Amino acid sequence: MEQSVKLVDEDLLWCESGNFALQDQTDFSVIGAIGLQGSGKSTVLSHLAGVVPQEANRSVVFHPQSRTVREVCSHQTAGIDLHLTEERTIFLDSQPVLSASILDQMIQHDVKYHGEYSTVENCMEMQSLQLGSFLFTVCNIVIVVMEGFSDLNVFRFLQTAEMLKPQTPQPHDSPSEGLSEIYPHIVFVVNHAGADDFKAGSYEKMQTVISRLMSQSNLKFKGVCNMRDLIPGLSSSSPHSDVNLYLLPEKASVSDQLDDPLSMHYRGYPTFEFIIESLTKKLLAMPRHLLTHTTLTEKNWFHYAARSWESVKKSGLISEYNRLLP
Amino acid sequence: MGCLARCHCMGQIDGYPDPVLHGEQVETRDELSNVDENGICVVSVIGKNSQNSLPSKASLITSVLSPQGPLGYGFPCDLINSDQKCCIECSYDRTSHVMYLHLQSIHDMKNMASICSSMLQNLDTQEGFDKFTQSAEQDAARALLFMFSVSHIILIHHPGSSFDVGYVKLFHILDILRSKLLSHLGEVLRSLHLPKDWVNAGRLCAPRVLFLFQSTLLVDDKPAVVSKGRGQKTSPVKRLQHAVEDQIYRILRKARIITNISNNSLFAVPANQEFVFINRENSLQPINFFAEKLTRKCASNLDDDSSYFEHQVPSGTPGLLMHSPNHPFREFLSQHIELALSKGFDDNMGRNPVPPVFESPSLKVWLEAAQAVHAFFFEEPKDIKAKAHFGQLHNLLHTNARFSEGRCIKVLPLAEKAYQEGLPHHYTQADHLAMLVQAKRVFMQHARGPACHQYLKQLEQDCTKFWENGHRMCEHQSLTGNPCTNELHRLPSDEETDDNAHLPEMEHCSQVKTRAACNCGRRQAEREDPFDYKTANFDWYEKQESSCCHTLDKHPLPTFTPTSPDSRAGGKIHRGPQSLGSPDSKLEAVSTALSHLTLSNGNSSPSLYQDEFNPEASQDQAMHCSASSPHSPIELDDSELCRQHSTVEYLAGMVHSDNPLGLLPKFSSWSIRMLSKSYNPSAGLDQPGFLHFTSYLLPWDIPTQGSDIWPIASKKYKQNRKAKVGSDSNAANSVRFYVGLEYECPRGHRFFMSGPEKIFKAPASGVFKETAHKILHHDMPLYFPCHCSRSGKSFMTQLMRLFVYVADTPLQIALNVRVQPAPPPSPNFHPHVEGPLALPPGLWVVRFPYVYYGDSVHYPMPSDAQQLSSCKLHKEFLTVCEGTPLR
Repeated sequence: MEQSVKLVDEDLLWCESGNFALQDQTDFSVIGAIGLQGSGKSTVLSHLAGVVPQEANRSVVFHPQSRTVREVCSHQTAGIDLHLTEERTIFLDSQPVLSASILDQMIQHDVKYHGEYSTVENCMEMQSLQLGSFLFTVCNIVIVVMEGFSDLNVFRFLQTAEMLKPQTPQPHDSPSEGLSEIYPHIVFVVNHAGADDFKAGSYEKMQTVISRLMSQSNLKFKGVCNMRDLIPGLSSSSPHSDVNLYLLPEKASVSDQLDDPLSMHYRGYPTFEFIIESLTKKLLAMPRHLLTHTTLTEKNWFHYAARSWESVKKSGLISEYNRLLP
Repeated sequence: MGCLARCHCMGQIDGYPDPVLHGEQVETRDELSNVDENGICVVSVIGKNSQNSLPSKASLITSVLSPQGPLGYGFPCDLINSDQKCCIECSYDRTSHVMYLHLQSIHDMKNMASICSSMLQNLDTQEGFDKFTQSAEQDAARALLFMFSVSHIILIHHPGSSFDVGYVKLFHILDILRSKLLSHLGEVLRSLHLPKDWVNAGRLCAPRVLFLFQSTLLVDDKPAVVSKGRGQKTSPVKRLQHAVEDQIYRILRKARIITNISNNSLFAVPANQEFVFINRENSLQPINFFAEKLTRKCASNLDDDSSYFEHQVPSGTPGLLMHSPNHPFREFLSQHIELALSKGFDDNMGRNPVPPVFESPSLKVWLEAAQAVHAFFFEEPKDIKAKAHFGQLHNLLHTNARFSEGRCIKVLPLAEKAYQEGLPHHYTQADHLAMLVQAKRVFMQHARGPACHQYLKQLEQDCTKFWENGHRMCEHQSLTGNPCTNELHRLPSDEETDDNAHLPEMEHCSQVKTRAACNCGRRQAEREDPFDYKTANFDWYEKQESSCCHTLDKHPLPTFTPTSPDSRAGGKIHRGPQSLGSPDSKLEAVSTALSHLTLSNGNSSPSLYQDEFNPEASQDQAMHCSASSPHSPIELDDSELCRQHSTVEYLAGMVHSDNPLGLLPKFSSWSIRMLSKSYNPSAGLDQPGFLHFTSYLLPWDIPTQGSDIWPIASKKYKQNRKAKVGSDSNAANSVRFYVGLEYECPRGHRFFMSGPEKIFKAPASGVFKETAHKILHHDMPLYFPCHCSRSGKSFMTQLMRLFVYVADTPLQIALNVRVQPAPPPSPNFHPHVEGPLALPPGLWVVRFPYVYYGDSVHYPMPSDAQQLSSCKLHKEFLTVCEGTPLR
C-alpha cells in the first residue's frame, strides 16, 4: 500500500475502500493518532510508517499540511485515513479534534448538523469525541500528538472520550458475563519540543502532570515507551517514570543540515530522525494485544471497526453527554 | 537575558487581596493615585502557557512596557504555598498610563506541574487532587469574570498555532454568569458612586479581545518566491493572520459570543483593526543565543576587533528581546491602547448603532472599583441569588463530572435491582457477597467516569444495609456443621438488649433432619439438627424415652445435683471447693488405703487407671483378672475415700480424660440400659434400620479356666480356637458372650462392624464364622462410610451403640469405653466418671453421645479423611473380671 485510503470520509461516513488489502490473518496491530489541529499527527504517523523524512510530500503516506493549508490555518486530514504496512500494522490518521478550522468549515458550508446538537460547536465537539471513542475502541495503541505541552483540555478530552467509549462486545458463546473492558495503550508525543523540554527535570515534570491528570483513567498510558534511554539523568525511582511520553524536536530545516560547521548549532538533544526511529522501534516491538475478547483477523477487524463506528455514531452515551453541554 | 531580568524587577501587585494591608507600597500607590488624574487603559493577559515557553505570556507584558520602567507593587504570588488557586499580577506603566493584569492559573503548565508534584494540601490523594483542580478551575473562571469587568483590552495567549475552540464554551459560561450577576454587580458599583453607565453595564466597556498565537506552522523556506509567484503584496504571515481573524470571527459570531451590539456581548473584536497577532519568530533559548554569539565570535576570528565588544543583538537574532521599540507586537498592541486612551472603543455594528459604553477612569477610581469588583467575585456573596449563580459554575465547567454523576445515579438502582434479583427472603453471607459482585459488575458495565468509585462504595453500602436489614441469614453452625437457615434472630434464651431487640425470637434451625434410633435402638424417629449438645446428647433421647425405653433398667450414671441455686459451670481453672479443699491429703489417704495403686500425682483421671489396667500382653485372649488383682477398680469405686463431687460447680462439657477433678456434668450424654435378660443368637436383634440378617451380635468366647493356670489356658485356648473356630466344641471350658458395635448413618441405616474395616454381613449359610475378637482388640473407627454411600453423596455413619450380652456366669464384664473424637491432643471421652463400670448379666446397650463436646471445644467429624482415622474407640472397651461381682 503506497498511499493511505479513506476509512471514514470528510462527512464522517464509513468507506468500504479500506477493505481490499486486508487479509485473513490475525497477526496485526492497529496504531491510531489523535490530536488538535496542526499538532503533526500525519507527519508523526508517516514517519512511524517508515517514510523517509527528507522525501517530498508525494511519497508520504499521510499528507502533512500543505503550505496553502498552513497559510489559512486550516486542517489537512479529513475523516480517518488508513494505511497498512508490510509489517501488518494498520495506521489510522484522524482529522483533528476540537479544531477551529473544522468548526469554521461547518459554519461556512452551513453543515446541517443533526437536530440533537444545540449548537454547531457542540456538534463539532461531539464529532471529536466520536472520533476519540472510535480510536479507543479499534486501536491497540493511540498516539496523542500535542503541539507543545500546554493544553489541559487534551487530557480532559481523552478522559471524556474514554468515558463515552462503547463497551467491548461480549462474546456470544461465553457463559460468564461481564468480561473486563479492553482499553488501548496511549502514547503521548509532544511535537515541536524545545531544548528546555529535553532536560530531565522538565521531562519528569511532564510525566508527573500526565500521570496525575490521567490517574483515574483506564487507558494504559504507562509502561510502553518513555525516553529513559534517550535523556540522561532521569531517575527511575519516580512513581511516574514509566508514563508513555516522547518528545519530538523541530525537524532540522534543510539549511541546518549543510556541512557548514559555522551553522552547526548546539542542540542538547537527539535529532528528530533519531528519536522517531527509537519511537518506531518501541511501538512496533510492543506485544500485540487483543482488541476484543475474541481473536480478530484483519478482515474481521475491518468489520468490527465498521460496527464500532456505527455504534459510536448512534451512541446513547454520547447523546446523553451532549445534552449536558452548556 | 534582559527579558528575564526585567520580569523579576518589574515586581507585581496582586489585584486582590486588599492591597491596603501592604505598608509602604500603599503609600506609593496613594501618592501615584493622587497625582495621576489621567484616564488609564487596562490590559489583561490570559490564556494558556506551556511549561518552558519563552517568551511566556508574562514576558509579553514586559516587551511592551515603556523603557522608563513600570511601577510595580504588591507581593509575588506563589500558587502552591498560598491558598490561592490562581492569582493576578499587575503592573502599571505610568508613562503610557496602562495597567497590565496577568492571570496565572492552572492553565499555565508551570503552575500545573508544581501542583502535580506538590504533596501539600491533601493533593496526594486522588480525591484531594481532583477537588483542588476543580476548584482551581472555578477560581480561574471567577478571575476571568473579574478581568472581563475591569479591563479594556484582553489578550488571549495561545501557545499553539490555531484557535483553541475550548474558549468558545468558556466564553459561553462567562457570558451566562455575567448576565445573571450583572444586577448584583451593579449594586456593588453603585455604592462607589461611579458613573451611571459603568454601574449599569457592570464594566468599563465591552472589552476588546485580542488573540495572540505564539507559534505558527508556517516555515519560511522560500517566502519570497511564493509571494512573487502569486503576485501578492501581503506577506504569508499577514495572509495567515487575516485567515485566522476571519475564522475566529465566524466562529464567535456563529456562537453568538460577539454580536452587533457590543454592549450586550461578553466582549467585542474590532471591525477594522487587526485583532490576531501571530508571533512568527522562533523563540530563541538563552543558551542558543549565547552559543551563537560565541560561534560568531570564533568565526570572525578576531578579524574585526570592534565587534568583540558589540552588545547589540545581532539583527538576525530575534525573539529573546521582544521589547525593542519597533517590535511588531508592540505596534499591534499600542494601536488598541492608543484608541482606548483617546476615543474609546466603538465596536458596535449594524445599521442602527447604539452608543457604546466606555469609561476610562483614573488610576485611583479604577483601583477602588477593581477592589470592590474583586471582592464581589471572590468573597462569599451575601445575596442568596448571587450565591446560587456562582454555584452554577461547577455544573457549567465540569460537564464530565456532571455526566458521570448523572450516569451513576441512573445506574445505581439498576445495580441494586441486580443484587436483589432472585434472592430469597434471607440468605447467607456467601450469597450476599456473590450478589454484590454481580451488582458491581452490572454497575461498572453501565456507569462511567470519575464518579464511579464513589458510587461503587455507595452501592456496596446500600446492598450490605439491605442484607443486614432483615435479610441476613443466621448461619449459626449446628453441631453437625450445617448453618441455621432462619433469618438473623435471637434465641429465646438470649437476653433482650438494644442490639437484638429488633430481631425475631426463635430457635436455630438448619432444616436438616436426620433419622436416628432411641437409647435402646428399638425405635427410630426423625431428629432435627442439634445446635447445642444437650439437645444432641440428652433432650432428644429423653423425648424418645417416654414412648419406648423408659421401662428398661438403667445403669445410673452420676450427674450433678445442685445444693445451692447459684450453681455454675466449672472449668479447669475453677475447681470445686471440695475437690480443692485438700486433694493431696485425700489422695494420700487413697494411696495409703490402696497402697498398691501407683498414683503418682493428683490428677488421677480414670484414663490413668486404664493405662494400668490394660496389660500389653493380652493380645489374643480375653483378659482375666482376679478380684484380688491390684489393678481392680472395685475397691476404688467403693471406697469412701474417693473424691467427692462438687455440688456447686458442674462440668460445662462432657466427661473426658482432661476434666478437672470432682466435677459432674448436669446430664449424662451417654445411656446404659439393659435391653432384656436374654439374647437369642439365632434370631439376633429385632431392631429397625438394619439390613436383613445383619442384626446379629458377634460371639465372644471366654475360657473359664482358673486364673492360676492362666498362661497355659491361654495357650490351650489358642490351639482350640485355631482348630475349631466357631464351633461349640469348646463350650465346655468357655463361656459365650455376645458383642455388637453399631454404626448409624444420618438416614437411619444401621449396621454392626465385624472389624475395624469391615461391615458385618450375615453369611448366606446362616452360620457365621466371625467373632468379636477383632472389634475387641483393635481400635474401632468412630466414623465409617455407610453402605448407602454408593449413590454419589457419601454418608458417614457414626458409632452409636454398643450391645453386650453378659451371660450369667461368675465372669464379670467391665465396661471401659474411651472415645477419642479427634486427632491428639484430643481427650478421651467416657461415660463413667470413676473408672470402668461393671455390667451385670443381661443384654446391655450402651448409647454413645451424638456429639462430643468438652471444655467448650466441640469435636465435629473431621472433614479431612486423614484425620478421620484418628477418631476412634480405643480397644479393650470390654474386659473380663472373675469373682466378686462388680458394682
